[in-house]
Amino acid sequence: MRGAALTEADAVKERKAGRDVVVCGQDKAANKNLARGIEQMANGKYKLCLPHYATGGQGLPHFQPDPRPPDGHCFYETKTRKSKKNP
Amino acid sequence: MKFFTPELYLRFNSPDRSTAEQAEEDWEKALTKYRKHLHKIRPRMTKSVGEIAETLCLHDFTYLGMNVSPILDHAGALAAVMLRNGAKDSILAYFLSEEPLAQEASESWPFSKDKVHWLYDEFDVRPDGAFQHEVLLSNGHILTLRFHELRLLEHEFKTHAVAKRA
Repeated sequence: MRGAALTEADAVKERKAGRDVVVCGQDKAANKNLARGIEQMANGKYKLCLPHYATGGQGLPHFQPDPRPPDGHCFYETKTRKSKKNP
Repeated sequence: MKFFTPELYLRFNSPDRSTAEQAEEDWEKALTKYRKHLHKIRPRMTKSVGEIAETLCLHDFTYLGMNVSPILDHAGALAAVMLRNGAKDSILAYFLSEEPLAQEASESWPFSKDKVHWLYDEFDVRPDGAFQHEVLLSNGHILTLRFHELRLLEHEFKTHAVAKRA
């Protein structure tokens, strides 16, 4: 679920605290680069995970620390995979 | 594994941009192919196995381990694969048709082998009718379980306030 808009610095703080963030936008490559940068700044070593089968079309790719902790993920939108908006 | 292979996982994590981009496209194709595969084999599955195969998502759950024990008064054995996500424990109980296999990762596996968690998994039906579940773990190991029935047990820990007696 998409939350309030954040600055990049705030996104890094959120990730350091183990909370999820999502990079939104039409340009998938730019979203991915920004998500990778946020995760790297927040947690150093990272890895990419692509959506699991059971999430269907709803799942978003994400970066996460390797190894954990902290918890959470840095998701990013693609051309076809979008975050849900708050109602 | 046929669909969500360690090799594909390594490719979409490649530092080479074109390799990673191609692998992301291949991943979407693998999801589509697996969906068709599951649709095809689902009629041969039991109700429980079919439902679990269609909906199970343990991605990122901490892998606590596997325990294999004989079933009293039966020839077979039971494997319990235990996982945790926050306050939720999940146990996959396999009524085995063969001993589980654990294939180790190559020495060059680049990701952490600590704090092992579940990455991806896929189901199949073997020619002899037994079911197969393969799991790729974050340390690069692949678990293969062959079984004739499967149950998923879930438990959420809740803390309760305890009143003090005067």
